Amino acid sequence: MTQPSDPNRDSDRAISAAADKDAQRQVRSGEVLDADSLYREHVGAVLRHLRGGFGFRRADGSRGHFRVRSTFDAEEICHEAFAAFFAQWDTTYDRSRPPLPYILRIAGFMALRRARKTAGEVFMDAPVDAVVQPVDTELQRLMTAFYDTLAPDDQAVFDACFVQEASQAKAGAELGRSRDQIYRALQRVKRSATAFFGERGWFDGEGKR
Amino acid sequence: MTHDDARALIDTQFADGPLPPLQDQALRAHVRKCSPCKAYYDRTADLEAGFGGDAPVVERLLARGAPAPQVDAQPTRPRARIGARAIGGLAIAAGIILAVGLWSRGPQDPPEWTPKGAAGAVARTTRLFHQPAGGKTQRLAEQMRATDGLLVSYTNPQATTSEPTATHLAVVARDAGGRVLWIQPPWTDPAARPQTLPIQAGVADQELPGVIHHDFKAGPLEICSVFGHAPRDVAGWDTELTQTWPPKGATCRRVEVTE
Repeated sequence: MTQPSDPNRDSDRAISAAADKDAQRQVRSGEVLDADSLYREHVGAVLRHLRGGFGFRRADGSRGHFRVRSTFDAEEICHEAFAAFFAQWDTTYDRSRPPLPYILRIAGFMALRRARKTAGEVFMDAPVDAVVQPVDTELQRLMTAFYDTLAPDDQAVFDACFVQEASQAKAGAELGRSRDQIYRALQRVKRSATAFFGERGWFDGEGKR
Repeated sequence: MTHDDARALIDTQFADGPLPPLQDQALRAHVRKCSPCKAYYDRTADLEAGFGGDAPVVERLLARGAPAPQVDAQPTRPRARIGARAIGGLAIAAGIILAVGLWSRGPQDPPEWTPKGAAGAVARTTRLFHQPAGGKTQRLAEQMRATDGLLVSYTNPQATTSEPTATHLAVVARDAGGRVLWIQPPWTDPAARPQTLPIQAGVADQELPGVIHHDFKAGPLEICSVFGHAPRDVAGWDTELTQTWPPKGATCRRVEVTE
């Protein structure tokens, strides 16, 4: 070890600030990839695209519709699609075009490629209400039954956070509780839900959403 | 990881929100290979959607951070294109030299630190810059002066394979006099007991604060970076390093220090 010295602190700061400004300008102009911002802005849309389904054209020219049934797979594909997009930022991607359609195409291609490799995945000709609806109906039935088992206080939190979709802070303000109390109530509700749904065989089924 | 461990983590994720990075990595690595746990994950996600739609899944993805590019799977950038860009944009090139936290890697760049075993999508890197007194910050190549300040930045991509994301970083040097000198964290006070620096996951370059000055002895200076998955006591490690150099698991490079 030795004692450090820092003789040019002001100069350091000025140079550092200039470098920061230049870096910010480059990010704004698109010269440099701001991966975190792009990811934050578009990850939700990519996930919805994969889970909601998308059209594609088969080798014989006919059209099909495909959706990623597994949430886990959708999360993985989403992540991989962004990784591939970032790698193409400097090569095949035209930066004058909006990034989202490009990322969606990568994600769709990856989803189809993964599905072709995986037995059991289905390429459908129409939107998949027939598959999703039974799951939704079962979920709705169990959720109603579960709601009835909750204490009145927890029902109020459930209503505020999941029915009215209020933030925890806003729900706390409405119900006269702290945000921490709301957070703990939500934890309690979700843990109860895991037990309730587990007892009724929910986790024995397959993911279909 | 057992099935019970995985299911416990899935339950925790549902009730408490996104898992810490290491647990998240371990869970994903297990679920990729385990069909029953994947079905459990998906059914929990279905239940989660009953509570909050897609919001919890998006929140989980955001918590993981942006992934690293799959560089191995992509074609190499044509050299001619680099040249054309460089000729066409001298101002941009000047900016690129100055900027800390760049993405593109050109043929003139000094070597990066990449941990052993890291490849493609999970590569972590540390970049070193030096700042002469009153001069401009620049990438550290082969030489520096003893009075130059040092700056460090790192890239710690969210892994896309079973390789977990690092949570802590240490950068330490040994000069020609055999002295161990800490650059990040910049530890000098024997009474202090700092730990290695917690770092963020993400593909963007992160600059560590501070311009670090040491009275380096002229001669070869070996600088090593170590990414870790837990905090580590710096003072205890320093004692160990005075006897055993380089640090285990480190990626090191050597520069020449001049007076």
